Amino acid sequence: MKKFDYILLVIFLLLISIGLFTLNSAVDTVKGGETILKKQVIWVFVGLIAGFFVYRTNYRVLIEISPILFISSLLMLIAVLIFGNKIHGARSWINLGGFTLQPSEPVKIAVILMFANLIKRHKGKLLHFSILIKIGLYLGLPVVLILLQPDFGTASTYMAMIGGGLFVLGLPKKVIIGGIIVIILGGIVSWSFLFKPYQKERIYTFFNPERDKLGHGYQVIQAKVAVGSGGIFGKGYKLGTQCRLKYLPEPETDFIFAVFAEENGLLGVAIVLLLFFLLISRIINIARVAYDKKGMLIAVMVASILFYQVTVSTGMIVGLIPTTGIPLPFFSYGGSGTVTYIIMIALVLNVYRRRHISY
Amino acid sequence: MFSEKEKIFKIRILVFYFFVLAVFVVLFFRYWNLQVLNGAKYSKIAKENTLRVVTITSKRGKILAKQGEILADHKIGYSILLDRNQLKKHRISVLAKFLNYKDKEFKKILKKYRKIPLYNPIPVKANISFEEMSAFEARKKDFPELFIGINPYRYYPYGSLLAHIIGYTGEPTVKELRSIGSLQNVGKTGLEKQYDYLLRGKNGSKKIIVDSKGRFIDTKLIEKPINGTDIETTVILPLQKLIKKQMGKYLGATIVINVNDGRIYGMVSNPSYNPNLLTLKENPKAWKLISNSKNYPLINRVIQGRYSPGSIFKLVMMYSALDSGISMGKKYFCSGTFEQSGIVFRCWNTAGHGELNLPSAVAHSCNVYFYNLGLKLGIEKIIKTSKAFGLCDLTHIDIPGEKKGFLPTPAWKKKKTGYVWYPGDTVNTSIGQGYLLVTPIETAVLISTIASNGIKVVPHFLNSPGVLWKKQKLNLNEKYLKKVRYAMRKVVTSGTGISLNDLPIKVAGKTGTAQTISGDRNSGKENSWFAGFAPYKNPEITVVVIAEKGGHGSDTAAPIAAAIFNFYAKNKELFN
Repeated sequence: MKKFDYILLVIFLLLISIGLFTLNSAVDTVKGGETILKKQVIWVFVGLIAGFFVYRTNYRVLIEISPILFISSLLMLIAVLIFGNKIHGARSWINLGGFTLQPSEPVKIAVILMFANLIKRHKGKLLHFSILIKIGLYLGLPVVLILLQPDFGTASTYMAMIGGGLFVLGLPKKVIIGGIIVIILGGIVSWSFLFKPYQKERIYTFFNPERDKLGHGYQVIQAKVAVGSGGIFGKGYKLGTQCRLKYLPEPETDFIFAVFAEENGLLGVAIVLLLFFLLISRIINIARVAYDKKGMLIAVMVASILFYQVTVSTGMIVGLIPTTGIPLPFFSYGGSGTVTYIIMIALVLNVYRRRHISY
Repeated sequence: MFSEKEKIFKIRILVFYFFVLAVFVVLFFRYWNLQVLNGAKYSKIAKENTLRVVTITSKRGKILAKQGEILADHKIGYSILLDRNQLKKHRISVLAKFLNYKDKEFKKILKKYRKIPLYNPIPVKANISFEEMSAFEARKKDFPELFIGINPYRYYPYGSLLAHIIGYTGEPTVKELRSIGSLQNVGKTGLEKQYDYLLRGKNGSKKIIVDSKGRFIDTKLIEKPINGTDIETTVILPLQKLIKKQMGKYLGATIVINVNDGRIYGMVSNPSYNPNLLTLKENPKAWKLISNSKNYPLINRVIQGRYSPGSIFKLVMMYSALDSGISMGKKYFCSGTFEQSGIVFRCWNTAGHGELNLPSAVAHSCNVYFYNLGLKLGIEKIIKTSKAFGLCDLTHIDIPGEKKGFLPTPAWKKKKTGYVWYPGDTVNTSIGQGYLLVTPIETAVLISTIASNGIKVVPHFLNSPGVLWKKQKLNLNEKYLKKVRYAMRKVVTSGTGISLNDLPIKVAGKTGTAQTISGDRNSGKENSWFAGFAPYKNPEITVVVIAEKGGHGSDTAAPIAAAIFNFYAKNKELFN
């Protein structure tokens, strides 16, 4: 039997290449665009090297050492709250001399592994209450710390990832019902007390972008114009006027797919969406064939978070989802994220490689 | 496969898989909807996002005098412009200090232009002097966000001298804007308005591509501006200066036209105003000051002033008499007074003129003679003759705003006042008083018609060989006109216009002393008229002068006219 999922690797490499090309176009008009691109290429290589080591190390070993990773993660998240740089109103970045690290990205790996650690001895079709509380207590911590930054977008990716894991592992009916109630109540409470005005504003404008044509609605309208004006075949590489003329906000990060859609049209969009779908399908397949529940969980969580980020990032720019600053994996600029996503791919390949071995 | 895993997990994974698939399908259709179904719509928006059309102003044509002097000029002013794309907050106070503003004032200027897109530089200091400009150029390096911009403006080198002829330009009204289609200054009055379509030219435009902040990226010329054409006028500048000087501080109007073709050599309406003040972009103060002035300087008295013609009307009366078969030898006796239905009408010569024939009555401007004549002719005949001359009708002079005089009729009086037309009304009309009103330009055309043997010309300023001005041969008897001219000559040789007799040219004319409503015969409150032509044989120019409150025609208006005829006699070559 095959030890390696070449299809997954090819899809991944295609995506990361298309991502780099798109970034090259997107940063053309951004100040210091060349350095952004260079840095991103370096980060891809850093990610590939890190990924190689993650791939080589048996994932069960990684799960065993996950408590250490998890504790250091929590420390990083606390450190960023104290020493972090405030950018766009959130304390998410920490300066580490040569570069800035966004701890909430690599912590995703630690959370995946920690989750697997917590359920390694669990048996049965559904999760027990005791273990659910344990999961909630442990994994809730980093989410709360990220919410404190406050970075609602990144926190939501954790919830999606953990949610995906919980769904596959199986939740008791009472918990599901209770969960729904808690979510509704929590929604009401956070809407009334926790949400910042700008977050509320974004949700209002999601339902009616015209409401705020020059504010938050402006971003969505301009992104939609970018995407729509791309047509079937697109305006051509580096020829997207919406991006060139700076109508698109943050073209190198959150709005990068609008740049892509404008320049490559529906044809390009269809290819990239298909590639992402195939990538996620392959990862789901790995979950299906994994040797143990731990491996399955890792694949499901990786599939969930990639699925969530892709959907939100591409859905936001076409007005399907309220604007949330979530990067598109393999496309958006950002060292911490890029390395993290590559490691995730390495992790699932790791699970695939050891799908017949119990140790 | 594995003992550890049960089938239920695979089912959940499958559910997850289908969920992912469904979401991707929705995503795809959303993109399909935007990019295919609505692609055209968004393409249009994207294009509009990037293109801005900027106008390039055309150069307005100059207005020239007959001898080529520039009467209205296209000038370039310099302003300091600010490129707000480069403006950084901390520089505001530095710039304010350099431009000699208080911080507050400077911020106010910035605020004023806040709604103007960023790709338009804004003027922060307009109309700077040459010294200010050199001072700026010397320190240019320290202020990269500032640069010198040029702004065209209209300049009238002779100021108030020709204000009523040239007029002035200003920003278009909404209505004007709609008809010209682009934002450029238009003529508001005078020749500037009349020939605006020639002078204005056409603005060009360029497309500039800008980004979302309105920052300039690239430019593309779409349409070159078409400069306006210069127009040459019939105005003789030295004559104009002379008239102005002669008018002195008298309110009133003077006009000099060519008898045979209607060319206007000079035209002054007193008081005047400085058009340079009104043509400036923002000068509400000057506008207020001028328009609220006591003597209405904005009114062009030549074409808008309606005056009683006084004795000038006796020329029409004389023609009317001849036309009714009354001979030149017809005599009436003037005792100084005349009684009609119990009302006593007086002659200006209270001692009386004695017995006079028709030309002598004109020469001495005897009122009593014309009272008798008027009653004999009747008002209907007088009206008929006035109409035959085209009096109290538009002359169609080529500056806008002309008003008609007023020719009263019995029917009008009945309707207006409820009273019938009395013989006394006819008596009053016979000497150009009462309800009858004429404008100076109508009077000039009347005199020209008499002088040119019945040809009615259109008075005009535009001196262009391509334009043919209408000449209308009126249905008038040339023999009678010759007799009227004879009487007008007699005015100068032996009548009220004797002061013009020793000019180096033979002048014919008529004086007039018209009572005004507040007028009081002996206090110099009457309007002083002179209307005449020269040379007596082969007439060339017509001169009409009215000096408000100038007293007797022979006292004020006649000397002004004399100076003009004298100038003509000595500078004939200018009038060709």
